[in-house]
Amino acid sequence: MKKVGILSLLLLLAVLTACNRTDYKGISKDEPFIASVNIGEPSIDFIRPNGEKIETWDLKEAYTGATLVGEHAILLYGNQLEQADLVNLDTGEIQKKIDVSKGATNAYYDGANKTFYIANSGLNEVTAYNQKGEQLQTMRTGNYPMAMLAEDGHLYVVNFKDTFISVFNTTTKKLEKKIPIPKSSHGLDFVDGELWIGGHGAGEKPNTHVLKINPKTSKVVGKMDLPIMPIAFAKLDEREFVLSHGESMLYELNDRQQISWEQEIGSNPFAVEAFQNQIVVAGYDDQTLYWVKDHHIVKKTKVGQAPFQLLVRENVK
Amino acid sequence: MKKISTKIWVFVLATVAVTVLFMYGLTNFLYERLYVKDAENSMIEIGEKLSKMYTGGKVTDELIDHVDRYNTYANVNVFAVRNPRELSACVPFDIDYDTLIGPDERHELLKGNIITKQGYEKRFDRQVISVVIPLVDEKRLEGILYLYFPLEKITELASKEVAFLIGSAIVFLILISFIIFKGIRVIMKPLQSLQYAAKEMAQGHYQTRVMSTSKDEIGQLAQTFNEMAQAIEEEDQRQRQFLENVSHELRTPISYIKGYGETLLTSNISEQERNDQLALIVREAGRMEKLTNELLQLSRTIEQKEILQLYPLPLSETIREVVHMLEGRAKQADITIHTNLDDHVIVNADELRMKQILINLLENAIRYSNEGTSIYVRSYEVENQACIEVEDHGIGIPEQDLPHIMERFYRVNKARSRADGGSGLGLSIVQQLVTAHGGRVQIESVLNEGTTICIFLPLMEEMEE
Repeated sequence: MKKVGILSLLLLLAVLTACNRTDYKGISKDEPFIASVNIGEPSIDFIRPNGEKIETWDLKEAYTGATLVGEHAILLYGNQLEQADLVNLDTGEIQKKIDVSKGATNAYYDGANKTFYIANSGLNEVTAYNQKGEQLQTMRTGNYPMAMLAEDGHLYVVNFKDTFISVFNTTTKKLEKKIPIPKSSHGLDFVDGELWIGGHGAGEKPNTHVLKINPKTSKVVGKMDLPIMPIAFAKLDEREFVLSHGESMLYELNDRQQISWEQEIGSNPFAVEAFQNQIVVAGYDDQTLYWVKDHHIVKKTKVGQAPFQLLVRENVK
Repeated sequence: MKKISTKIWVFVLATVAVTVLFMYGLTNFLYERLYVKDAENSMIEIGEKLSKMYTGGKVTDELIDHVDRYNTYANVNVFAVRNPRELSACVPFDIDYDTLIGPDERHELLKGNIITKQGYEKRFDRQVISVVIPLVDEKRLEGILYLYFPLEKITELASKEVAFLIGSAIVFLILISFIIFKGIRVIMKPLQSLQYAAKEMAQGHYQTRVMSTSKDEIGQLAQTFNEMAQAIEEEDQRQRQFLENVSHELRTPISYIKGYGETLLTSNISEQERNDQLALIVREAGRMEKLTNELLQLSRTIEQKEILQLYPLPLSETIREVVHMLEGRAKQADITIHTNLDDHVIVNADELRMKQILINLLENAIRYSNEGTSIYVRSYEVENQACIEVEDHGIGIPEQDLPHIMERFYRVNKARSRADGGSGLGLSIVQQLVTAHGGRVQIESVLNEGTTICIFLPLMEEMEE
């Protein structure tokens, strides 16, 4: 009986010290993965190209999103949290806790400038940080900044509850212009020099279009009917994939920007990414990743509750 | 609220009011439990049947039309929804839109569960019972069937006719209060008569009686009251009679004394006559003294002021002494007293009072015996009691007078002839004293033959015991 007691005490100590040493389990340095950020009971599933799970991180705080910062760090943030954590992927240790205000909606890593941005809907601003997590600059945006994309020395910030995109210079961090868009816009991509923007649609009527905007003139140059609620984009082999969550549809567009293939996929999916020559879609309601190759769903992977984002690390250089 | 009838009235009325409120609450409760549950069940049934039209895939315009057509004819409101916006599909995003179903409900619907709701629905701007049937295909919430029924609370129903409802409730309460008021008055009437009668009694009207025909507690109370009034009236009558008797008894000697006294003062009479008249005055004064002594004795015994000095008393000894004391007077009347005494009879008694009892009895016997007759005095033990028996042979007592013979101043001879010399209190005193000793008096008499009076007294308990 005594032995059992001592043994359990030792075991408990071992567990405690283990917890102390690392925050999460590290992911091997050179392994490519696609990570599903699940916001139901916050967790991240790291998955190999063959669909095997590398690791699942049960997140310790009420994180609502994550983004990869380079190839060896991941930034975790939460809408109601006052700290964002920069975690070393290789070791799983939190390398920096960044003080933020409540209201973080999204974070975006601009690889070209080695800078990441955190959008804040409470303050209506975007703050830039270097790779170490040191704050660089804060930029005023419109109401409820959320989706972000950096292209060609510009940071495009979609103001979800406003009617324009704020365009900043990534070097000077100055606001350069505002591009008019409808409210509740979300998801953006650059296709053939055009800025494509999707959205949920404001009010009762759901949006069914992707708007094509000339970023230079800020003019709408066309729109494509991709029902319902196209909000996510992915590129694979020069082909553009658009995900509409309202009808759970994945569209493939050809180089003439016409629908060349479409597939009902997942249940209420919010995220699509290209990974290792496959298209991966995360079904929010059915907690499943769908792997599409050559117009076929080739596998499905169960993930945690409510997968909302997909993060991709391709082959590590 | 001095009147008990008012208290009862208020109590009953309050009870009725509480009952009305309780019934209202109960009706509401039953409405919730039965009506609402029933509406919910029938909506679920309809919804499930309608949902059979959905065979998977997207929710088609045709299905929506079918549901709309059903809605036109049905008594519940039903519509199909496929707009992902309404189904909270954009939940992770902060959408400025009031969706038809919330995120938690979406979660339930995705599992294929039916949702029932009850309460205010902003969309319809009213209280509704609603049932949401999920249209799920491959874990996709493709749409819902939304059924609802306006939940008209009883209060809401009532508000339409609120004036009528309140009015009728008030009229009902007034009517009920009037009926209760009248009813209580009928029930309380004998009590009021009782109160009136008691007041009358207090003012000295002892002939007052209560008329009551009811057999209930109040009726019984009235009956008891009447019996009490009867007793009081009789007692009052006796008191009056007693006073009358006392004054009558006193007046006679006083008028004698006054008459002789005046004669002595005013007339020139001889020494002999003067002495005779003085002797008469002394005799009358003696009679008065005796009367007042007896009255005092009676009053003391009645009020039990006199404490008896009880100790073992050999009865035969006492009887002999008394017989000896009165033998002279008996001889004067040519009457012989014979005794037959049991010397073993011992009673626990007050000797003085015992003698008084015996003197009264023997005086009476001598007074009412015919000349030349005998009086028999006996003492013996019977049924664990001591008995003293005095038998005379004289005028006797008529049968109808026997029950009253012990009453004060009761005389068989209504003419109140003073020839017999009695005050009319002797037997009363005897009875009082015997009762005080724990005994009883028994009289047997035959008119013109004689009377036998028996005194029963408890025997002295054996010393050994």
